[in-house]
Amino acid sequence: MIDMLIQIPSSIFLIEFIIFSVVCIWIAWFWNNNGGVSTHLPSLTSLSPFEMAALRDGCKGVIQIALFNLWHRNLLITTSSVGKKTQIQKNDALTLQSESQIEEILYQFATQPRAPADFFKDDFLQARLDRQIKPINQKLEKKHLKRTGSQKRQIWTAFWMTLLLILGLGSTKLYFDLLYDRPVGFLILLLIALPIITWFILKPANRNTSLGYRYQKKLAEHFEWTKYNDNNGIEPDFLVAIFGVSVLTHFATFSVFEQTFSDDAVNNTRTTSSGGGCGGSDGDGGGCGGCG
Amino acid sequence: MSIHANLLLQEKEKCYAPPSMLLQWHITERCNLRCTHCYQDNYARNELNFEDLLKILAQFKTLLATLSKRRGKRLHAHITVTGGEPFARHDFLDLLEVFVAHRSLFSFAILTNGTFIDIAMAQRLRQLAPCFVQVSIEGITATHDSIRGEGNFAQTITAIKNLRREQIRTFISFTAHRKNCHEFPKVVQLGRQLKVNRIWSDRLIPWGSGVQLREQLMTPAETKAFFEIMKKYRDKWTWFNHTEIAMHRALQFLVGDGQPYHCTAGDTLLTVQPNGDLYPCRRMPIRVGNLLETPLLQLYDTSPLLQKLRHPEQVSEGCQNCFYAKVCRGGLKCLSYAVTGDPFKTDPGCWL
Repeated sequence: MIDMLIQIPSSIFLIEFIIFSVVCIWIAWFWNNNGGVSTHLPSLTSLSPFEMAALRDGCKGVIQIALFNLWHRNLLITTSSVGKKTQIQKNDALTLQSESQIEEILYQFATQPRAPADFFKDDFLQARLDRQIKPINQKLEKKHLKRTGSQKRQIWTAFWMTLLLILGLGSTKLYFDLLYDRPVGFLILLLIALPIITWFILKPANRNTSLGYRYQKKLAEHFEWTKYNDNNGIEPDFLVAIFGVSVLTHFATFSVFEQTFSDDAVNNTRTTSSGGGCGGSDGDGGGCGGCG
Repeated sequence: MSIHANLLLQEKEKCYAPPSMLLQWHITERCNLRCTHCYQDNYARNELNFEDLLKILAQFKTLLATLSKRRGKRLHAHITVTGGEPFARHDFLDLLEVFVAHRSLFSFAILTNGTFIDIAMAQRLRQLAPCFVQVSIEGITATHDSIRGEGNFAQTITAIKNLRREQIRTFISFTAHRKNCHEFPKVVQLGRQLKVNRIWSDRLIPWGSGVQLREQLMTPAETKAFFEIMKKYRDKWTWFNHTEIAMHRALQFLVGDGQPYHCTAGDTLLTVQPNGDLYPCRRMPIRVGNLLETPLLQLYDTSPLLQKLRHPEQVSEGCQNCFYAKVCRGGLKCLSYAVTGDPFKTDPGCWL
């Protein structure tokens, strides 16, 4: 086996190595995508805004929706004075009547004036929200939109095994070519490129399944028109769930919220990774017709 | 409702102004064809003379001026003139000349069966420059001829070629029902070969002669499947071809994406019949009044039917819980009316 690897001409090996790598990556991809069995996209209106936001942007998205709902109902008010930073506080003149525990938690958190970023960074708040977001993630997992813990483990296993096979074979050949003083430029380039290609194809760090990404893409396509119609008949929280807070720049009525809670305003916030947070630290989270 | 509230509503209606206005004008019921799915079942010469047509046009201009004044800017207005077969009237081209003279106020287009459009007529139309000319193709030759009459397919193709040779924007309309919906891809292929500008389709509405075809109405599942065919061919990439497969009719947004369509009858669409009767839409034949008896503006402002149709909160019965209720408002109201007798019931073809 080793003799064969030493004797095989570099040019032929490169071709065979590329074919071998493609096959490895394809098998890993096939394994991770349920053997190529495609699941039908859920109906575009079957998810709640909280679920859509969780799919798009994890915990951060859910918090944005809840804050938007509270702000939209005038339950949260923005206070700022010259030279001071914007602060958010609950409106004592009104009483929260909501069935959403997430909104309730954020509303109570705003008893004290808070900076917009606090809603995304406070650890105690995050821990309380995680418990509420867990069922949302479970629902997304059930619909095959978000990767389950075992799927995440499987995809990492597939990724590392693919890399091991590709780099193992390539490195061995590289070692012998260097030993026998043969040209190795192309092989080195391949050894650099292939792990990157594998990463982009297998996407091991993504928290959503490929169905989840297709669903998000379809949602964005289907509701694209709403961005350009101020009075479009669709609930604004639904649009925030699909496009994020940035969509509010299109609507004069909500632009204040966008300025307060834009990604720039709350940057350095904690976002969920594939490893935990928001739903479980063990990674289980998720011209009408005329004639003629 | 109290008298006071009623008065307030009437006052509010008198301030109403839509962003655009489309007048579909059926100038005659005469036609040289007897299509099986036609909205008409009477082809008698029951039409206004040219002077009366001009009176109606004057009323339309008054309506536009008033609505523009209310809105504070000029309304985008358009007239689609049709029949019957509009070319069956000897003074049709004279009417088009009048439209040309009013081009600054409104644009116009022609819906025809194409049988009168020979080379000379196409050249004449080019001079008149309508926005577009629309003809109908109902499927492959046999299907088309079985609906519109023997030999009509060839005549229609000739008309399209004549129109395209003169570079007149040409649309193909396809009326979909159970019998022909699977032939839509063939019509797309043909339309692309003929380089028409747009192909669009809506569902059969069983009125007039078309009542006989009631069993040909597509079920909700068939409707969805048909829209999926439309989308597939709309999205199919072709070399050097600019034929648009439009999916802007009721419910089509559910499959084809884009801005949801809602029925505009009574709001930005009005239809005038050959005898001067006003309908919200030709496919919703509910008489609102007659323009020789009551001015168009008065009918537009005070008709309870038109007011209800254009009411922004109006949602059809059965659609209240639908996610798209506010944007779709019940789908094809004319189909609801044809099937249930009530335009404010949910679209019988909706699968949601």
